[in-house]
Amino acid sequence: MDSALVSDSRYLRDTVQTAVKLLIVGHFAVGKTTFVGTLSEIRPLRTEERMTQAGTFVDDLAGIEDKTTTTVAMDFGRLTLSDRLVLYLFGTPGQQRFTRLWQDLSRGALGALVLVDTTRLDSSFEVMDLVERQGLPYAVAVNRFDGSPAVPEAELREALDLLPTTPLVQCDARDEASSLRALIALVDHLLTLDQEPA
Amino acid sequence: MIDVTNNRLGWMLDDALRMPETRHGILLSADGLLMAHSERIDRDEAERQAAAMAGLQSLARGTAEFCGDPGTTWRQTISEFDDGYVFLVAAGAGAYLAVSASPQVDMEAVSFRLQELVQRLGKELTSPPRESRPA
Repeated sequence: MDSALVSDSRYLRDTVQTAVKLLIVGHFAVGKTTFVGTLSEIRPLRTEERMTQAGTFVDDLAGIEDKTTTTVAMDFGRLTLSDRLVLYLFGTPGQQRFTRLWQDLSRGALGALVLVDTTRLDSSFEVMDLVERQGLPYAVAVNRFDGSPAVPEAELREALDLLPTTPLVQCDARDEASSLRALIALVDHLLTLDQEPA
Repeated sequence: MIDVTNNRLGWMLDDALRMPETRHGILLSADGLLMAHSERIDRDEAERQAAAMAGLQSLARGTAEFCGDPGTTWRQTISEFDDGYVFLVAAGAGAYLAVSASPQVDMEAVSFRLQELVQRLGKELTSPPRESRPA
């Protein structure tokens, strides 16, 4: 067993533990499963099921007609950032009907990365509302799809009603380097919040 | 938070798994992180299973209303496969215990053993304060 891997240096800073649980959230079909899969150093846990005709009028596939599966429970992956910091990534289902599970999975999480898609910005409001109601600090990452319009940052901030301190980054969920940058933006943000006097 | 690398309670799971036809055991926190695992399952797999079990528990609890009162207490979830069973039970405040077994296992004996183990774990699981440092 790989014991004592990090046990000698359990603390990155005073209040930061070795194991940090983060949520990867976002609306239906924004790329959460892809994101977790890209970054996980272990085989990720996936719970994808084929979408059925039952969802035709519920899960809107406009613009993403190639999508054939959807996550019904969760995604999970692990990423060791350094020998002092291990990130546990929990991807949550995007649809409203899974809110209950969403709340349970957010237990113990220190923060959330909200993935958004510039072609469906209005779909993100509900998710961001959930994150805020859970009181979770978050960063926003724009998952750039092929052909998705480049929206200036100021406009995005305005549209999503972000605080000036909330990190906003661009990534491609299929690309490891940019996805990692997005996650690090969140971790940095959490560390900053951590150091601010209460 | 739990230091998943020391597997301090792993021996207890191994002890419980001495009964015939059982395979692996993991102990997980309600938020889906691994607290301990038995010897023959490696850490990566155990962590993935811990996350899945937390999701399973959450979904199972979501079906309470289908059974009766929505607030009724969830006790356990048993999954059956061609290859055997997975038992998932509550293990005190904020923790769950999962054990797998072959199709030939004595299910009643496993349930009994799991309850016994939960009692023992309960004594060990007086969670240390989150900020405690190693001496």
